[in-house]
Amino acid sequence: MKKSARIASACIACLAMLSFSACGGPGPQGGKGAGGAEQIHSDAKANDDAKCQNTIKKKGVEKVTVWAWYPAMEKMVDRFNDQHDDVQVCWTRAGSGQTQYQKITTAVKAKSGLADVVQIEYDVLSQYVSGVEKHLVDLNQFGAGKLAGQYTKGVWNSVSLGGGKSIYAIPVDQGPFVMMYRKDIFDKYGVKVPTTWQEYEQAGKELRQNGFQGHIGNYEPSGNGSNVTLIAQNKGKVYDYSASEPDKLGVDFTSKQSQEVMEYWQKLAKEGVVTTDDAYTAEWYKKIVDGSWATAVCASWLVGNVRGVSGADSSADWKISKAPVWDSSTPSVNFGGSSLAVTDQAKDTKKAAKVAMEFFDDPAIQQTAITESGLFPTWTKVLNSDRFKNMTDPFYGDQKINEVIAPVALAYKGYDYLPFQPYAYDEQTKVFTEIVRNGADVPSSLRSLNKTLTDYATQQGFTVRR
Amino acid sequence: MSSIRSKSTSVRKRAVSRKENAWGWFFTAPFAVIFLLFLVIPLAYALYVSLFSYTQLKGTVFTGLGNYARAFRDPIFLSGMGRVVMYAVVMVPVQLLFALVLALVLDAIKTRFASFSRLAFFLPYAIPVVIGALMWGFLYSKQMGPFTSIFDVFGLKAPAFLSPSGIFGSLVNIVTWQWTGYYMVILYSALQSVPPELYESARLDGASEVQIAIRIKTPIISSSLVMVTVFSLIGTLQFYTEPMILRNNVPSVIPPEYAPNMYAQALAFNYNQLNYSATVSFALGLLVVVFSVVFMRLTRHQSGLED
Repeated sequence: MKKSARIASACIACLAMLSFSACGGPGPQGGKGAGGAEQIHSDAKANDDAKCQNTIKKKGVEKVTVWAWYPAMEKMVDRFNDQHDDVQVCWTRAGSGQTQYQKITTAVKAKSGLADVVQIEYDVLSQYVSGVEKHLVDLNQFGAGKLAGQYTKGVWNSVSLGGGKSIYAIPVDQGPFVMMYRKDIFDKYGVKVPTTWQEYEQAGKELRQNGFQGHIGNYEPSGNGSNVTLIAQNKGKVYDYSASEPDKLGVDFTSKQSQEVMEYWQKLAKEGVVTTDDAYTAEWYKKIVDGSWATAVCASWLVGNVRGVSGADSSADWKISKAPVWDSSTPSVNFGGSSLAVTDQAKDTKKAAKVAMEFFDDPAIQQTAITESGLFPTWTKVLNSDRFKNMTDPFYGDQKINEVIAPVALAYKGYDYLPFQPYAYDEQTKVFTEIVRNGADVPSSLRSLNKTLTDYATQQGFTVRR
Repeated sequence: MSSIRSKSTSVRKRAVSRKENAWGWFFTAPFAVIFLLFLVIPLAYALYVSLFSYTQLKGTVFTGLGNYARAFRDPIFLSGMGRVVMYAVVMVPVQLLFALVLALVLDAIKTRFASFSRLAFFLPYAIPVVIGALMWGFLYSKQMGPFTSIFDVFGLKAPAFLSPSGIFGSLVNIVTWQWTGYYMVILYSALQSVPPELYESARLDGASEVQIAIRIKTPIISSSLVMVTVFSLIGTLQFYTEPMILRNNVPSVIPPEYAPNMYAQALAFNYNQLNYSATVSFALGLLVVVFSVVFMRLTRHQSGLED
């Protein structure tokens, strides 16, 4: 390379940098007003040219853009639009779960391009509310507070981040923690279906002794929310965060309760009672249905994910029961579920709030959500209705499954997640993997997990509660 | 007298070369614009972003090189870096050796079978990386892959491709499978440009085909070999797609920060740390440049890039 050319290219780089720093970029952001005045907008025309996945028939009506990945969403959107003359939903499937969150993150950084209403799972909600990241609008100012009684306690606690006055999303579905089990396998090997974790271990051993080639179940170290739920069953509160003190948080993996749960699974893995496969992989789904495992202790929505998996054991006789408990005081727990939140980029915030609050407030849409999308409802009226309780599911041999699941949903009290939950999950996975696969010392592993997460919290500027 | 004349010619020469330069710039303009827009400016922007630090509670603050100090002490980044260096140490020579041997063999036999094999070896490169990785993910699977039943026939247990101890070899295999054919084609075409008279005189001197391959052909295409090595080295240090895809099968075996590029992705999109992610990307870029420059210096003689 000639010297002159080198200088020239260096200059081009300098120029590019100068021009860029001149037009801004990620300079220091001022704190947003506590009242969130900058979050509220009222431009009814802004979405007129928005592109939607659904076809909007009514012309000249204000549109609200929605990102959601619920199955059968289009049918529900069409019904909503049919029923409303003052607003039309313009829906897009922007990927499910993490894929959609990545789009939210990008749109937030770009300060444009975010939908008015977005589907958000309970465990990542606080991430968009804490610190300088106030990207969800408090719906209490639009009257969401009055809706509290219509939803189960646990999910309302989740969307209000600790039960305060602010409401950051409207609940849609939840995932009551239950046990799917293969009645045919338990019958064949003459083993009683376990109701407690002590019995679960015993049953697992008996199945093996009586010649069952598979395992009673699986502990997935990469289960993310399900691992938190298993600890919550033993009253371990690993994550502590509430909107009333947004700059403080707590992490507690060192409690006796957390330790007991992790020691239990380490023991079962060591004894060969359970396997420790990774969750949510194609292989995991296949092993659930092909008879490798006699049970799957998980959220009730899991059945929706395994229904169509190929390689299923055709002789399977599935039944559902409550998840095994530690003792009679074990709380009802939940894993997963999602809500509709209004973003600070909503063009007409009030209309967006209306959509979030009213979208599922229609018996026809609720019915589609339950039967076609496979969502487990959070609406107490539905949960208590005879129609819902008497619903049967062919997958479970026409068992009245909601007689089992609905009480779990109603009894769930809710728990917290950290404002950086994806990071916490990733760290969790590493430590739990070491514990159940490589026999790592439980107390010291959990202590180091605790330290990793509190150090991160401190680095992010949070005050760690002791 | 003479000095004046030489001065005037040099002035004229300079004028001519300036004119040529203008045309040169004109013809490179389409490339230059795209180069600026999609490489230089994003690069400069990433550098700029990397000088700020973002935390959830305090927002964005200017921290200068603070992020870089953090990155080069960050055990997660360093262990990812160590991992890709390990991959480079194993994968680059393996790919190079396979590609060279295949190219030499195909160059030596000139039958229809050779042109068919050339195409067959090249074919994996024509498969998109993501699809290739997905396919291998299924092949490696204990439940769904064919290896369990194949090994079963011989009464053996299939190796655990996706276990913590097997994942390294499995990933090396995917990359080697995908890229060897491509490197082979580069080396093969370099061999085609060698005048055959050279071989004839070697044969007259009594050299065997193997000797010709090792002593004559290989040294002659050394500049192509260096180029292929640099490609392979840079590609390996930027390891991303294959582990990212296999991660869907075994998230606990391949952590999100397995390779530096994956760490940058996780930071930006999962942990909401765009600024630090830019730092990690930039630090990785810096190390790639260092590795490449060192390698090019070491092989100055072979590559023919001496000034």
